[in-house]
Amino acid sequence: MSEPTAVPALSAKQIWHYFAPVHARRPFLALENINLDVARGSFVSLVGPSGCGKSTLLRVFAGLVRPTSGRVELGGQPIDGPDERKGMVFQEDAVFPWLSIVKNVEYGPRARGVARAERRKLAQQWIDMVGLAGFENAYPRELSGGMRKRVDLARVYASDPEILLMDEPFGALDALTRLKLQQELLLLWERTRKTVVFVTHDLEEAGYLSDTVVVMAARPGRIASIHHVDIPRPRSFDIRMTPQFTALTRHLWNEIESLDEG
Amino acid sequence: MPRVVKAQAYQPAGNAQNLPGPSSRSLEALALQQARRSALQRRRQQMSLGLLSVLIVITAYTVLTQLPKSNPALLPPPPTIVNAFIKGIQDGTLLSATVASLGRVAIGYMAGCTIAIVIGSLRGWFTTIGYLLDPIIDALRPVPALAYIPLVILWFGIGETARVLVIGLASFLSCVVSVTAGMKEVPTVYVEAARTLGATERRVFLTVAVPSSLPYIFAGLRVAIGAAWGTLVAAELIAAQNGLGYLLQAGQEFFHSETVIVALFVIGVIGYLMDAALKALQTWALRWSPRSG
Repeated sequence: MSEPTAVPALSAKQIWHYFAPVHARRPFLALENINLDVARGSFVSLVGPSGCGKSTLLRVFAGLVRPTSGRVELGGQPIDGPDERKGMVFQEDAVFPWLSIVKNVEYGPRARGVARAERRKLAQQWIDMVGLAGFENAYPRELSGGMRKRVDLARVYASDPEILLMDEPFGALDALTRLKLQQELLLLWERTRKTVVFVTHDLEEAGYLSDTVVVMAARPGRIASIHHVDIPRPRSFDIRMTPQFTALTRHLWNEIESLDEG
Repeated sequence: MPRVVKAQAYQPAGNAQNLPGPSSRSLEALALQQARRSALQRRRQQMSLGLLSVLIVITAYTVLTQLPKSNPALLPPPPTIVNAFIKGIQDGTLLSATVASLGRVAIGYMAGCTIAIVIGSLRGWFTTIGYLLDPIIDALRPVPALAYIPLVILWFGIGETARVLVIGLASFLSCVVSVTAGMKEVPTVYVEAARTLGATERRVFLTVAVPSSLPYIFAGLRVAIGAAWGTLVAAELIAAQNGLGYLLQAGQEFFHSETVIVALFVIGVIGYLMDAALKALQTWALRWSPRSG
C-alpha cells in the first residue's frame, strides 16, 4: 500500500537557479527556492507568465539544466544529466527530419540496444496508437505539424521513460489541432498512467489535462500556489462547459492576475 | 466531400445542379495532365533558349574568324578546332591527358575532403577541439592553395606527390569551413531530444550532428570539387609532363591555339559534369530535407 506511493516520482528540494548572461550586470534569479513533489502516475501542469521559470524548472527535471543549488530526484535518486528515464516533448518540432517515421519512433529503443525485430514491433504499436499507421516509411517533411507532433508523442512513449516532461508541446499548433492532440494525450495518459509534468500558458489546457496545476510567479521565478483539479476522469471535451471547469479556470486566472499586481 | 466541391466549381454557371458534368475523377486526371504539360513546356523552353545562346556564341565566333583581318593562327575557325578535337581523341593525347588529370583530382579531392569532414566535424562539434584547431586552420585558410606550390616543390620535387598534395590542400581548405558551420548550426532541440531518448554523446554526434549537418557537408563538397579542379589545372600549368593543364601549356608553346581551345573546352565540360554528378548525389542523399526538391 505505502511502498511505491511513498516516494514521489519526481521531487525538487530547495532549488535555486541563477542565469549568468555574459552582458548582464548581475546574475538573474530564474528559480527561487522551489520545493515540489510530483506523485507517481499523476498529471501535473506548470502555468504562469513568461519569465516565471516554468520551462527552466522542467529542464532541471530533465537533467538538461543543472541548478545552481538544491536537489532534484527521480524516484529518490538524484538527477544528474539527461537520459531516457526523463522523456521530453518540446514545443519546437523535434522529430528528426532525416529519419523516416518508424526510425524516429524506434530511436529510443535503438539507443538502448533493443533488438531490431523487437523495436520494430514496439514502434509499430505506438505508431498505430497515435493513428499514423500507413506513414511508417514517410519522411517528416511529408507530414503536417499536427502529425509530426503525434510522431513525437509516439517516439517518447516508445522510449518508455519513467516520467514525461512536456514543454508547451502543443504551443505551436493551430487551435483545432491543439484540441485534438489534447484529447489524444489524455487517452494515452489514461492508458499508461505515466507521470507527466506539463508546461503551458494555456489555463484551459492545464485544467483540462491535469490532476494538479502549479501556478508560478515571475521575477524571481517561484511557486505561487498549487491547485488540485477534482474533475472526474475520463474527461471529454464537454467538461469544458461545466460550471466546475469554468470556475477552475476563472480561479486560476484571478490568481495569475493578482500576482501581476504584487 | 472536396471532390464534389471541385466538380461543381468546374461546371458552367446557371442550373449547375442538373447539368451532367464530367466526373471528378476525369477532372483530376485532366488537372494532373495539365500540370505535367506545363512542366514539360517550361523544360522545353529552358532547353531551347539554352541551345539558342550557345548557337549565337558559336555563330559570332565563326563570323569573327571570317573577318578579313582575322589571324587563323590566333583565332582558329571552328572546323580547325573540331579537327584538333578529333585528332586528339584518335591519337590518344586528349584522352591520356584527361585520365591523368582525373586521377590526380580523384585522389587529392577524396583525401582532402575526407580529412576536411573529419576535422571540420570534430572542431565544429567538440568545443575544446575547436579551441585547439581553430587558430591553425584559420591561419591556413586565407592563403590560396596555389601559393603553397613553391614550398611543396621544394619539399617533394615536381612529382605526382606534389600535385596531389596541392589539390588535397585546395579541397580541404574549401570544404572544412562549410562542415564546421554545419556542425555549429545543428538545432539544439534535436540534440536535447536525442539525449532525453537515452543517446550517448557518441550516438548524438553520429546520429544527430552528422546527418543534421549533411546539407552543409554537401555544400562544402561542391565548392571543393570546383576548387580542386581549378587548382589542378593551374598546378599542371606550372609543373607537369601530362594532364589537361600541360596540354594548355604545350598548346601555347607550340602556337597551337586550337589545342588550347580544345583543352579549355574539355576542362569546362568535365568540371560541369563533376558538379552535376555531385548535385545528383546531393539530391538523393538529402531527399528527406524540407529544402530539397
